Parts: sequence; C-alpha cells; structure tokens
Amino acid sequence: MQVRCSYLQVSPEVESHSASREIADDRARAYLRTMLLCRALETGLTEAYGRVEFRGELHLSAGHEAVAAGVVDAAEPCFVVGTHRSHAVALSKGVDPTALAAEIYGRDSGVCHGKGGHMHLTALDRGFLTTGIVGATVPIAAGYALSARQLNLGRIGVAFLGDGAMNQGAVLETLNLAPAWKLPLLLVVENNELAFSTRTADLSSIRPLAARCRGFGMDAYVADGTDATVVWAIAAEIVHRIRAGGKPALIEFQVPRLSGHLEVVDFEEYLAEEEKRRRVAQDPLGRTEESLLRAGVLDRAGIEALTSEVKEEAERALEAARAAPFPDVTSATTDSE
Amino acid sequence: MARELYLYEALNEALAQRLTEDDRTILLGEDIGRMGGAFWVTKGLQERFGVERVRDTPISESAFLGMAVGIALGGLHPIVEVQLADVALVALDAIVNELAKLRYMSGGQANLPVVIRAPVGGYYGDAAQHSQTLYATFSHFPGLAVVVPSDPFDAKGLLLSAARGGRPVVFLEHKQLYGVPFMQYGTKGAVPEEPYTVPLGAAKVVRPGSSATIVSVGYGVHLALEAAQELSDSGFDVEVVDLRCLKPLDVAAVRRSAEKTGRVLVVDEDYSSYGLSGEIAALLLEHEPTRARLRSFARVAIPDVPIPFSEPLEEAVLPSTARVVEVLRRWT
Repeated sequence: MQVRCSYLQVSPEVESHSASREIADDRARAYLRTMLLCRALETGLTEAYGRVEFRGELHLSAGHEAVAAGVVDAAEPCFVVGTHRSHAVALSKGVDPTALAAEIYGRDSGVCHGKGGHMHLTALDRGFLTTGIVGATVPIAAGYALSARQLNLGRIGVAFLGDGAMNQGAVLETLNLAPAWKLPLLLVVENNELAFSTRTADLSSIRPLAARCRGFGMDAYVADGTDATVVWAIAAEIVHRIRAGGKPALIEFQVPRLSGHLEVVDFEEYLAEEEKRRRVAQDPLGRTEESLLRAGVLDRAGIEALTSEVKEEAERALEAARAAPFPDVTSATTDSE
Repeated sequence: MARELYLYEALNEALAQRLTEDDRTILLGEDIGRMGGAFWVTKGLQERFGVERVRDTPISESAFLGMAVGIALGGLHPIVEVQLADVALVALDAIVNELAKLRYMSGGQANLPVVIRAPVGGYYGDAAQHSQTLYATFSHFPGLAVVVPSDPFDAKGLLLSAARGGRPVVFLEHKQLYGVPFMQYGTKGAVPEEPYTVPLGAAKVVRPGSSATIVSVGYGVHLALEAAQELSDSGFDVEVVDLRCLKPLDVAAVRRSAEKTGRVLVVDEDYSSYGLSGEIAALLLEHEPTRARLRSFARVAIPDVPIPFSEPLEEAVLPSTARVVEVLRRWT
C-alpha cells in the first residue's frame, strides 16, 4: 500500500516535510496484528492484575502501540532500549508473548527467569532491553551506537523515552554528546503529555520538546504517532538519514496514553472526562485499522478475524504463564557473582 | 635488578598492554587524551592508540557512564576513567541501577565487561568534595567488584585481571600512591615488563606478625606498615593484611589472621559509619571459631563528618600512623 506522511522538522531548521512510501501489505498487516496482540495481552494482564495474580507495577503500552510497531520495523537491524512502558516495543522486537507474560508473572520461563519483571525486560537475542529508570534508556542506546559504528555492526541504537524523560540530565547530556560523536542513534520520544500525573507542558517553556535539540545540533522531528504505517514511513525516512549521514536524530511522536500511569492509579483522578474522550478518539488501533481499510489491505471481516486470532494467542500466552512454575529459590542468589 | 615503576606508570603499562592484546578495549574519560589524565595514568595512550580508542569525554558523567553499559552490550570493552571518585556520585544511577544490576535483572543474559577507574583519597587539602574514597559506597551494591591496589606490582596485575574478567569492576586508585610529583607519598616498586595478572578477591599478608592484625587497603596499608614498624622495637609484632579487593572480600584470610593474633584493627580511609570496619567486625563475630579467639577489635576511620580543608583539621579526621600507633600501644 502507498503511505503518505507528513512531519515537521524542528532542528536544525523548521521545515515541513511530506513523503510517500510504498509499504508491503504484509508488513502493514503485521503491524496491526502486533498492536492488536499487545492490546489483547494487556487487557488480559490488567484483569489478572485486578485479581492479584502477579505483583509489582503495570504500565500499559495502550495508546503507544503504533509508534512501537512502525519505528522498530523501520529501524531494523537495531538494538532497542525501552522504557518502563515497553510491552508493545517488546512484541514489535519479536519477543515471544508467552515468555513476556511469564516474566510479568515472575515465572522461571520468563525472559529474565523472573528476576527482572515487567519493568526490566531483557531479550538480548532480540536486541532488546528495558530499564525502569526514566531517561536511562538514552545513554545506553548511545553507547550501543558507538560500538555499532566502531565495529561496523550495521545496526543503529534506538532509545525510547517519554516526554517526562526529556527533562532528565542524562538525556540532555547525551543530546549534547551524540551529535558530536556522530552516533548512529535514533531517539524516539513518545509524548503522551503526561509524566505520571504532571502535565509536561506546565514544566517546560520550550515547545515542542524536540525543539530543544536545536541547542545541541541534533536533528529533530515532530509527528503524529497513531497510525503505524505513517509512523513507519516517517521513521524509515529518518533512519535512512541516520545511516547515510552518520548522525543521530530524535523524533517526537504525539501519542495518547489510554490508561493511568500504572494500573493502580486510575487516570480519572487527574484527567477530565472530556480529555479522556479526546484520547480514546486517538486510539492508534482505530487509526491504523482505518488506514488499512482505506488502502484495501484488510476488510472489516479481515480485521475481526485478526482480532479474534490474537485474542486467542494472548489467552494462550497468559494461561501458559499462569501455569508455569516459579523459579527455584536457589536462583535468587545467582547471576550477581 | 628488577625494573621499578611508579604506580601510575604500572597502570599505564597495564592499559597499554590491554589495548594491545584486545582490539575491542577502548578508554573513555575526562582529559585522558592529550593531557593523559589528571594523574597521568593514560599518558601517551591516545597518541599511540588513536582518538577512537582513547576518547576524551565532556564533563557528563551520567552520559558517559550510562554509555559504558551500551558500549559493552555492543561488543566493545570500555575502561572508563572518572576524574575523582567523588564525581562518580553524579552518575550513581548509571553505576548502580544499570551497570551493576543488569546481569542479575536479565537473568544472566548481560555480561558487561566494564572497568570504572577512579582516583580516591585525601591528605592534600582537597576538602570535602574531592578527598573521599567511597570504598563502602561502591562495595555496598551487589553486582560490582571493587579493587584497591596498594603498590605498583598489584596495580598492574589487578588492572589486567579486572579488564580481562568480563564483569563490572570499580578500580579505586589512591592519589597518594600514584607517584606523580604533585602528590607527596608515592614510591616505586618492582613491576615485571610482561603482562601478568593478580587474581581479584585474594588478600595478601604484607607483613607477617603474631601480636595483632591490621586490616586495610590502599594508602591505609602504608600507614599500617609504618605503625607496625614503629612498634617492632617494643617486641609487639603486627601482621598487616592488604585486602586488595573490597569485593569479592577475602574473608578467609581476615579470619585466619584474626584467629592467629586475637586482635584486629581496621584502618579505613572512609567514614566509620556503615563501612568496612563494621563489615569486618561482623564477619569476625559471625564465625564462631574466630569469635572465640578474638580478644580485641578497634577501628581507625573517618568520624561522621565531611573531610575538612584546613591541614590540622584534615589530619584530625583522616587515619594517620599516629592514630594507628595509639591503638596498638593500648594492646601492648
């Protein structure tokens, strides 16, 4: 299908771009499938969390799925460092949903054998890890990019970060250093306008957030992040520039967070009903479905079939996680020597 | 006669040999390139190995220590110099939450061959923010080895072990021991030219004795040896154990010496609260055969105050030969 995209460059110059790219129908369908799978998995996880089937925190990707699906595919081959809100990124990076669910359940068959949990998902064989410290993703991905360039790995480093992370020192330090060292690095800001309950816009006088990259000599762009095919087209353009130009870039995607910061604090507590409705209207699942319907890649029946297919897959993954054994307690003291 | 080097020269040789034997090793840090490092440890290495492998960083510890984790994940082996241990506190998240924990949190997937080198210590009037050793701070967190050499031979062998070990290591180098002309103490020691290793986690009895044991690391070992020498005429025969590594800690060596002498003094150039001295006391008391033989325990460490600037004030809080001798005389 043909994808038309438009995005705003905000650094070094302010310039509107539009482009048209051909994407294979299979890939567009695969994005939607991953997004639906993630939503189904998270729906099941939220219900299970309500029944206290596992512990800890639960930050949902709901609303961020299109950015994950489109960016990861456009950036491959790449190494991705994700945030505390990374279920969609994990699935887009090819992490097995059963192993993902098992980790969230603290089981031995989880990707980290139960030692990481929902915020510390690592699957190095997929080129993927996450950290629960806001902003810490950025220097780690930048370091990977340095090795990738020096060892000619042909890969780029990708860090996801939220709007709140844009105010972390480690991020700002890396924005300074990455262009100076010409690192093949893509920073993906998922701007959902909320840092937990705090409105990011209240605490920075520079808008958009990406505009501050001008002060660092870093290329930066702003775009809507709700249609996976459009996200892919934009990311593909920019990744091409990173690879060809040997310099880093940042893309700030506008996304709606469709849940509370974590699943014990409902976001009704700090969001008006009207804003909640606005966010639901921006649901990337709906936006991506519309785009595929318009292009004739899928019809309504096809979407329904896909939805029930992934629902079953998610249920199987959750059941397997639930049934899987906990790690042997002797493993509590290994892997740290 | 064996060749003698200052400690900074021994470290420089270890780094040069590591850069030669392993083309994946790179050095990062503030002023390590053209200047060769604040304490000369990387002198000449950028000229020899190039700017890609010996990289000057901006004063952005959070960025470059966080990057060290990603660099290791990407396949290079970073050895990072932090200009002073004190400033590593700026980047404690990168060191503690990322570097130290990732192997464990990932269920053993992530092996991170990262060495963080940092000059430590006082005795030259650099006051509260530039004189700390932070021995206990770095040793507190799971996932890091912590090494403190006390002489040029160990410095070279321990650094090569750390670099070859494939795990995160914090390597703390006492400023007074470097041998640079702007620090007063450092002395030369015999260092073989060829690469060699000293294993991590093995303490060394640097002075055998039977009357009392002094446990220490780094510059403290030298204070202990001076004090032991001062008492030798009186027939009080002090054993000095150089831990060399705070983690892994050679508990067996400490207990062995404690059981032999029955008296243990810990000399620790770090705050006494929640530190090495308390840890050693606990390890001795927890072990029944040692506890049964332990008659006396004491510590010479920094009281619960920041390190002051003025010379007599600094002398009053940092461990000194005089304070060590004072404790030992009580035991004679």
